[in-house]
Amino acid sequence: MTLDLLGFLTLGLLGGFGHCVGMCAPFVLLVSRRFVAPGSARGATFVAQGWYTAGRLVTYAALGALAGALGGAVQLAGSLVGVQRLAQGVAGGALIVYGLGSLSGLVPGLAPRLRSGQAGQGGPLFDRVVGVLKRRVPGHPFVLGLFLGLLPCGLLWSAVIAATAGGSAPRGALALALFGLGTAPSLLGLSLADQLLVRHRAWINRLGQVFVLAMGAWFVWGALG
Amino acid sequence: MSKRVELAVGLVVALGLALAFWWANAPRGANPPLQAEIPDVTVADGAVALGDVQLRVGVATRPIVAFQPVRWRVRAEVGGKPVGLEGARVDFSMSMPMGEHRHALTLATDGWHQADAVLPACASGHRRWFADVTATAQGRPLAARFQFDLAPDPFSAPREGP
Repeated sequence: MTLDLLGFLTLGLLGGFGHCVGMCAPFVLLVSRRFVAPGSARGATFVAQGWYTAGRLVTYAALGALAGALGGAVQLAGSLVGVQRLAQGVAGGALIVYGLGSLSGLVPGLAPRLRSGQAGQGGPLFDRVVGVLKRRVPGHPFVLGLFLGLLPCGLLWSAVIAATAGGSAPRGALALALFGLGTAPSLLGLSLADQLLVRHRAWINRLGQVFVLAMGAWFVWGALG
Repeated sequence: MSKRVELAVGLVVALGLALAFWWANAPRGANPPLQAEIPDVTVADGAVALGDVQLRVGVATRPIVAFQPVRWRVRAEVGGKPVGLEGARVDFSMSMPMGEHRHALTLATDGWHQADAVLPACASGHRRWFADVTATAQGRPLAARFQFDLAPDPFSAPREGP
């Protein structure tokens, strides 16, 4: 499979709406909730999502450069399989923690402690675990994007495989950066829908939290399998 | 923005995303009609009868693994003898959207057409792929679907073949 540079952008654009909207949705929700304080200006969400996307682009570009330089996907895939599995497990764990943390408001007696910001400072074991794991999530969306760009993803690997045909590191980096850029509109659209529709409607928000929790479990299951 | 307008815009965006998801996953191109039986070429070559034409698909290297080039071979036969193919290609797809994996099949020897394809592994663990072969033989369009499973571990599976 060979693609020109426009093809990589198109792959990202189409794949973004057909693939990333489902697979990466929990991370979009995670970024909005982790890095944007409730009641912040509308633009704050897009700034956070922009940094997250920039982080992903840098990782994708690095993968593209490696693929272009190596000229084959198998070496790259082989050397990254452990790292990707780790990234998948950690990301899934973070989603589970955030899902449980968000849904813990439904458990009587647990919500007040979490709301008062005392998580991790004693109290029930669950509070402590939530507090500790919350601190493990990178403190800036760019860093989170760098890390989550390593998640194993078949669509990303399709782009990497196509980039190996380019035959040079700069072209591979550019191709994968364009691919990543192509995925941005769908995820920004998702973020907008989240902001306008989900966050301010309690029951939809709960559904979103259950979705985040379920996807987290699915990612961890995949990492262990 | 009032809450009502916010809700309306949010619904429009969500609906737009849903429509885009549907559109991005809609089948494109000359997809072959679904056959009663889809030959499985995971462990052995397969064939489909399309009228008097027998469309054969072979794999030169097994097991079929992700991330490594696999040589796919296609031949059309009438009465056991090869017939020429024009515009032959193979499209690979699976249940998860993986982008376009389309490869032109070029004429090799003995009527066989071939292409080398590298497929990715799906993070969800799904290993079943479909190979949709389309071509024109004797002025007649041919299309058939074949299926196969990628080897579970692409990095340790010993491979046979050239």
